[in-house]
Amino acid sequence: MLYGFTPGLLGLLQMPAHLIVLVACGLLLGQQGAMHWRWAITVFVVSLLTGIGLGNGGWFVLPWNNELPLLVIAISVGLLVIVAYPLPRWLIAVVVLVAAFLLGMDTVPVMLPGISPRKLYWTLAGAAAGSFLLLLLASLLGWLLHKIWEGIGVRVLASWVTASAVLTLALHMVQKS
Amino acid sequence: MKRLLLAGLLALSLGSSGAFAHGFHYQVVVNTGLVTDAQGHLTGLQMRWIHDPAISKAMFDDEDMSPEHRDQTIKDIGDRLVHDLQRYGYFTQLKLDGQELKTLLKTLVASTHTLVLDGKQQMVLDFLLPLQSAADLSGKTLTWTMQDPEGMGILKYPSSNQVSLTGAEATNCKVQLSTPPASSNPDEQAQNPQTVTVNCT
Repeated sequence: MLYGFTPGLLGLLQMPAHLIVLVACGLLLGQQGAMHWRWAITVFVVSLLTGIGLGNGGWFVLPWNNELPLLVIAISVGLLVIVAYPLPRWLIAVVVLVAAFLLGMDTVPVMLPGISPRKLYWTLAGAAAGSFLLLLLASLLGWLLHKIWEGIGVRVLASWVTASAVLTLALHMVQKS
Repeated sequence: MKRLLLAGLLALSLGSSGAFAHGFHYQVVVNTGLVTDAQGHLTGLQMRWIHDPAISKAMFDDEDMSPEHRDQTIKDIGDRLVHDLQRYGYFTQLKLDGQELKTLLKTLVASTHTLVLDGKQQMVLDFLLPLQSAADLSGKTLTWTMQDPEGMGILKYPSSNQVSLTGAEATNCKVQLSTPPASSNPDEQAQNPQTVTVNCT
């Protein structure tokens, strides 16, 4: 199936840049502590929905491929997790806000001529729910890993995520050239 | 484990297609007939677009196809399809001796389209793409390309036989189909459309 809540939810699996940036942001939130979750997730949801609205409304189009800045953000966030310094709240807010906005702007279903708007809305709802759930799961994982082995686990995982982001970015650059 | 993860992400990246627009493509097989008036001047193109089964299925998934509502559902999808295609000029760029030929997109097409599901459950859209004014083809070259500006739809004529000429054009004109070199990359296929050339004496 191309449209609907479930294809939207599973669509994340077909967008490596989205997957990587969500896991990176989730690990960062988890590492920085549960006290950040409430407001950070609120910022994420509002920014994601704003991005989805603008990206699909046709009112505002970014003049670049959103996947590239998303991967750059994933690399930066991954490095922040590896470094493991306590970060100021405003920096976490900016990272989450920008990442979620770009994710939303890049979440555009296949717009077949003649497709029912209802199917597009359900697909977008699935995508938003998928992004939210993945962020939540990754932050939970980050929080759990941060609690054990002096936080080495979350830093190792972040290094994998960073490497994956670099590799995917390189792949994009090769495809473009 | 790390290599496996990276390989998995690579495979996902390379093979990405599905609910989202990244790298998604679909095929439409096109048939076209030249429509002329009593003087033999070109007045429009009669199009038949046969959508690939996957897209046809996506369009009709979750729609009410019960016997009592089937016809209305197909009509509604056809109306929406034509309405959306209008915004893209029906993906068609027509030229006569290199000069753009303008088409009447809004009024006539809407009243002349039909959508059916064929035996293979493929959407078949028939419509007339009328010209703003009739064009004399004598001694001229008519060309057109069909390209989806979103880069998703790949519109193809399997052969030049899919362009049919009737009346005087059948004897005075020759059809040539120019197909870009075969590419396994759908993005390239979408960006390099075929060109149909009708040379008339």
